[in-house]
Amino acid sequence: MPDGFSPTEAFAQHLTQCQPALYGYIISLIGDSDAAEDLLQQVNLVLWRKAGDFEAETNFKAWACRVAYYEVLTARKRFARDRLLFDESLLSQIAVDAAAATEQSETRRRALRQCMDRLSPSHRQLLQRHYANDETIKSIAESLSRPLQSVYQTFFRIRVSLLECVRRQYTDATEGES
Amino acid sequence: MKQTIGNNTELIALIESICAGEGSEAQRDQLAGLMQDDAVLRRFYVDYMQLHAHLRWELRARRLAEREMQSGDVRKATWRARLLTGSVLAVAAAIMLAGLIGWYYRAASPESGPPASRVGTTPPVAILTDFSADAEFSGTSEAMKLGGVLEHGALNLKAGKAQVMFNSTAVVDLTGPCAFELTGLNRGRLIKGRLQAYVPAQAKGFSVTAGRLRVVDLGTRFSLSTDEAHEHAQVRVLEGRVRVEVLSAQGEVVSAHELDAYQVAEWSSAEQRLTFGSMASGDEGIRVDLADLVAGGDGTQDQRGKALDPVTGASGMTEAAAAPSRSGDHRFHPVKDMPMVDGVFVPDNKHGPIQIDSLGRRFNGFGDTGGECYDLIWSGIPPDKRVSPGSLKGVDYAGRGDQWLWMHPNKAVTFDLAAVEQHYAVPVRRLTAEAHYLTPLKNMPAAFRRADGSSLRADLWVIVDGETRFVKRGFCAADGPIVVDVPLERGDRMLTLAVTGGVDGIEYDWVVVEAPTLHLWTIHEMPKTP
Repeated sequence: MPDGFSPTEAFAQHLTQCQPALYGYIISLIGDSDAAEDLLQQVNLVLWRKAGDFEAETNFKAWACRVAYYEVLTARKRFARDRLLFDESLLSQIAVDAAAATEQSETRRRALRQCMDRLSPSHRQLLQRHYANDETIKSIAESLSRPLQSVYQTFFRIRVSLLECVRRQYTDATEGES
Repeated sequence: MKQTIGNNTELIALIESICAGEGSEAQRDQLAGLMQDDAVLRRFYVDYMQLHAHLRWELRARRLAEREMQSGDVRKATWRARLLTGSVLAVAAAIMLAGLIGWYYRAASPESGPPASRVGTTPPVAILTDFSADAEFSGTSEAMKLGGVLEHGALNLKAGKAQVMFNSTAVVDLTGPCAFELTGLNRGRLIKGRLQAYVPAQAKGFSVTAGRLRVVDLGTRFSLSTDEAHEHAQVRVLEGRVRVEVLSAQGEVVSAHELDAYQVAEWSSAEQRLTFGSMASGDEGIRVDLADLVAGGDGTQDQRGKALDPVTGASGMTEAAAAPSRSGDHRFHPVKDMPMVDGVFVPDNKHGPIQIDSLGRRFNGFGDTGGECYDLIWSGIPPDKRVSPGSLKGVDYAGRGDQWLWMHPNKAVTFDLAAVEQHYAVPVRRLTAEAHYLTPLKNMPAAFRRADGSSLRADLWVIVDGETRFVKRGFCAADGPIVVDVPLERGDRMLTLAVTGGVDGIEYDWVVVEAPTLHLWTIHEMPKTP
């Protein structure tokens, strides 16, 4: 950060607002949710230090994603191989798609909240156990006395149905705006 | 693509193992190989992983907030509900600083940087730290932004929820409809509606006035509600201790009383009196589900799939009315064998005031509704095949119908609050619900489409003992959910929930009242301690 520069309220606002989107972007690149949280912390610090580099009126999210991408590349060298997923060539391809998806992150997240409310209670409970209570899929499968693969399938179906619901809502919302 | 991926169990296992954080190196390499040359799969993977991230973010934030709320670490909870991780907490703390820096920065050099929301010539007193997706603000020309600085002045929340954090670090959660004025760095005024305040030790002394009442927090969590005329106000201490002050018309303190956790004070303007009590069972109390009552349950049994006939008063019906559109007979029909449901009727004032309860009270506010009703009052999803998940344009109601009271107008049902209180031996304190005007069918006949392209409309009423406590006239699908939150008082006896067709008849007025709930909790009178 240049001497004497203080991040503005607008900068802080941008940074706060883009947290979920940034988290989604990093998870797309590295897969591991816990490692993504660690990396998000690191990216936040770097963004804060680089606040002076950000040009007002430009796309904050795109800038933040670029910073995050380079942090992921740096982390590849620092972390053990098993913490990160893909080679640099695939990573750069995924980064392009992930950055594009990040642009609709807020709309999709709003839609997701509505879509989650429409899940059956049992599916909602499964998501709750895994995401909120940090239960692994394996332990959920054991507690339900179900084969692991069948629980994977259930989670896949829930997430695909949510993806479709979000897409529908998103399409309606963008059609409504036009 | 979905078909291909959905049927590819190997691919599902690969993606799911990555999502679960349990993938082996070989599995990751295998997935990478598949995605390398498949752009469609890559995009699916990205969408899928981002959904996974958003689920984790949303659900963990909710859970953390709940846990910390339960353990009393309220400030952390409210922040984390939005911000999730410790690292982001640091950023959030910086936002408070940045908000102030930003104000001074722009005040000193007004031409530099983009304009921030509501930054002007007076210092900011708080920051908007959260709001729900359905939050609707009025009276401001600028869009409210998360992290936006708030100056002195009123915040009008028409619907949804919002959270502000004062510079003192006191946090106030507002539930719309609500009007709250920020009057200082550590104080505010509740103009109408309901709030809940969380006051950490460093913000001790935070105060909120509501008419003649002032609540001075001594480091705690409390809720405050009042009507617009400030005829009634209620303070509930959820944790810690507050001081409740009664003010003169000139704002001088007439009397002051300290309340501890689970104690309640209620101000009555008519009686010019403050009464005190205590909540027996903490914050939550009992919730009585009106959809369950309509289906014949006791309000806690989740019964569904049964209907009341507003034309005859028949109960326990499981099939649609033979003739869906029928005329009411302008009479109130008691419902037998369901003590908590007083009766039903078809609301219409074409022939004058209509009886709305078994005590003979009459009401004349509905106007000429045409006196027809469509089908029955259904608990849950009605048997009409058109009302199935996916059949309504743009909205997927799968999994939600079980919370419905299907109230296609003109229909009214009256509940006996005294019977509810008697059944549970706990007073009824509040009614909450959300009304939705479901978007009409895509293939709605042209005859029912309005020539001016505007939407069909309906009216929603909550009437207590013949007095309108809530009305939303002319709402339509575009209005989104209509939030109903009606405080109930001791002595309130009959509550009528009614939906009428508005000015344009009842055709295609697909109205549901979602999660209609009576909230009960006990307040024990206790001697006033000056």
